[in-house]
Amino acid sequence: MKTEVDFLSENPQGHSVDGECFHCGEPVEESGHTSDGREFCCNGCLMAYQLIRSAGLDFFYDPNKNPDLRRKKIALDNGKFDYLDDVDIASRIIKYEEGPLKQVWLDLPDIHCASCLRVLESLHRFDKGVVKVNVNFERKSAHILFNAEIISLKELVRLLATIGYEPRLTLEEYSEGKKAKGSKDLVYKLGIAGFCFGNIMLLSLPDYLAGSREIEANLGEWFKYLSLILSLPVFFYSSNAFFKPAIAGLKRGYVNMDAPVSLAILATFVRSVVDVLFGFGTGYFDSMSGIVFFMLIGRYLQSRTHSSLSFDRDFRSYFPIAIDTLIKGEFIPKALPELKTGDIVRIRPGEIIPADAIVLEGEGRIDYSFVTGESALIKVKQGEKVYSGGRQTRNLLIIRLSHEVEQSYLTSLWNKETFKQKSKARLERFDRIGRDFTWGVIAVAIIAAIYWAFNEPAKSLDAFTAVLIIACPCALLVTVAYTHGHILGVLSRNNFYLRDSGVLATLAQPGAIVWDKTGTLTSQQKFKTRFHGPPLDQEDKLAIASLSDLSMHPLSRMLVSHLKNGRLIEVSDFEENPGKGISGKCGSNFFLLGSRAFMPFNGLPDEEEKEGSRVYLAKNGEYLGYFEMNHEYRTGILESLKKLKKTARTVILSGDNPSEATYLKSELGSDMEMRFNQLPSEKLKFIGKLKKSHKNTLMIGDGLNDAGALSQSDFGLAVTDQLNNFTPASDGIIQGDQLNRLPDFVTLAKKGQKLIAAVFTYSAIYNLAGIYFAVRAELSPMIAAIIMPLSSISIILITFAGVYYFSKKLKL
Amino acid sequence: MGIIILLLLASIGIAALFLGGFIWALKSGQYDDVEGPAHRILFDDGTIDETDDRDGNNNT
Repeated sequence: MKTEVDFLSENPQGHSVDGECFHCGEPVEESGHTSDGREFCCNGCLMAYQLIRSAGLDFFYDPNKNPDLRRKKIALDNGKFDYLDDVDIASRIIKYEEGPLKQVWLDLPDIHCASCLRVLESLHRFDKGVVKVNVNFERKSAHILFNAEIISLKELVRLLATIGYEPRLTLEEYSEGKKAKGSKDLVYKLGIAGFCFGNIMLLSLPDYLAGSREIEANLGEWFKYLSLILSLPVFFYSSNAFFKPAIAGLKRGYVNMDAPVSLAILATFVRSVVDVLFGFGTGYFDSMSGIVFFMLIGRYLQSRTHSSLSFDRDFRSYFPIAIDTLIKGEFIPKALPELKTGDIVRIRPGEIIPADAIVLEGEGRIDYSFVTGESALIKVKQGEKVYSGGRQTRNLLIIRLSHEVEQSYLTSLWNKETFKQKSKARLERFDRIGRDFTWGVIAVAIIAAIYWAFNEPAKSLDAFTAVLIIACPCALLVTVAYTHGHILGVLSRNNFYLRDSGVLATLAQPGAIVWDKTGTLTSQQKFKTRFHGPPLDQEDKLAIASLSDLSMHPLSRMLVSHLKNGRLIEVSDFEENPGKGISGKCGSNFFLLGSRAFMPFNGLPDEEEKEGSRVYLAKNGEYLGYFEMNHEYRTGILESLKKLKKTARTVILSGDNPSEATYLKSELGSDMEMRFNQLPSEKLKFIGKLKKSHKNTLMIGDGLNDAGALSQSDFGLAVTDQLNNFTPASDGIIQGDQLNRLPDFVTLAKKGQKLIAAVFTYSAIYNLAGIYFAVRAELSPMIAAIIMPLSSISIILITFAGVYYFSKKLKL
Repeated sequence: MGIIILLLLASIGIAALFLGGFIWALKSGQYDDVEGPAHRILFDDGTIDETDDRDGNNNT
């Protein structure tokens, strides 16, 4: 093994392969960026290298220490963070300041390995102004303390971007402030309840063992009062987790699932206190603290969320915080919410257009793939309209806003309140069960109390409280919480993350499944390029690659990556005919590359069906053939689709043209339902219609163009190839390569529901037997005390074993 | 019998100490990031704590 220093001095080339950038590993296409005998693809990577090297963090480049390091290609854009100089905007990001020392929390989604942690925590070596960096690996965020007299917030952010950790600064955080960090509250409550429960059980044990015999009176008294004292924190602190939501529900006029639980806790506690103080018995403190403890565990299992994922992103996450706006003859960054109709703004290459607008100056090459799913660039000239959500790719663009941000075409899709309605409906279903349950329990308790009041008044109160205690729906809640909690754990091990456990029931019984095509069924990264025509020789391939390398069109980029087999050669007489094609001379050969219309020939193969994904080629005035580019389907995805088609109505809903229709039909059967050329609003409408005829509509999609449909559906599943990328608001996030396992995930969810039903039947019998004795006022405190924790523990074991068995069977 | 009560109080007292320890650990943020420290402990060459650098910054 070499040490770091050896590695760099003995082998000055490092692991840099000839023709590859030493920093990011991408091919070097433009020479001239060198340092220490190493080559870089661009100035950005060169700068990052020099910075890291000067900070003495050479280990960053040691392949022995960083086998899985993925370094990012660094794109430097000097003006990008100018808005951070605006005092108002900066003050919203800075969380705390004391004199020149300021603190910020920044989300750094590119954190992925130990080296990232190390480089970031050594940030003070890069700039003296950084005082301390504390990385939170789980959240992919960093807490940075810096001296504003030495380094400004803008410079800090730029420094981070330069070394490859561009902070995620979005409008969402700007306007709402960061969400409170995950509540530790529940863990405190859980810890205290566990402590008290354990000790109370210890004190109750002699009672259980003694059976009908009395334990020594003196000792019994001590035990009773100690139990009472230990139960106080459980009742007054830990139980708040149930009381508060129950009271909040009652205030808004409905009974939720926490109500019967609270009622049971309250009844148990009051009766136990009365028992102890008036010497009637030992009370049920053990049952009460047991209920609270086990239910809190269930709640904790369900609430384990994935702190680095966000399920609530809306359009604002995609938009920049501020944009250059013309104010008094100068372009000054202005926060997005303050933009007005008529404002003149400047869009830099790579920026997203924040609102519908009209082009004043410059030529737009706009990538609407966010909005429509189509990857071809759209050209816009002066005076034409551009829509929000499009990404400008090349030049500066000056536009006048014709709508406000909130009222633009894209953003209006989000503001349809579909989201709120959905969560409300889901809550209502669960609350209805809670309400019926509560009234049922109270009715039984009152009937028992009235019965005994007439027959044997002394037993009346006993029966009333015993029913309340025994009939606590904690068995149901514990079963649901534990089963769901375990299933969530299994799913997230498979890179399938759910918003919360409430959506599992929907996932278990999908009535209709709607798939987006581009980016969902197909992979975003993999393309299949095929040449139709006589095979090309190596020399021609390289010449075509060199030629297309000069064009920024996505199809040209695909051609480059497909054909490049060596160092690119020089091209002369290059000419680009935007929207049509390119031409140029390589050596002695003259090439034409482009659309069918660009070819000066007749009788070329028909392109009607495959528009936009074919590139025609001519060499020295002779037609050779055409390249065909297709997104590649994800492995195994079509088989999964076929499987799901058997149980649920399956629809493919695509924003693309129907060029793939015949292929899909041949793979999936001719009865496959497909709709093409769907606008985002049409997708939304389609889902709305589907929801009326089918229960539980599942929508699977990616990107902003599906965002409306995702939130309209009963279960929106966002697909992403990189989990730290932005995903639209959804109920679940799945990594692209796991999507083909969806049938298994659905099966697991289904089994989970069955398991819940089975365990609940079991515990219902348990509880009914208990109620039977309780109404007859025959339940001895001992039996009641043993039954409650025992049923909880048995439920925990059954659900755990059940979920484990099913997930192993499905190989998850 | 008194001895049992004494033992009882002692055992609850010790358990309470551990509860206190747990609450302290939670409060001081030891559970906030359970993955990071596992990596941090492997930084072997002392590149991280160059205290002189940091002191310099604090004083300015």
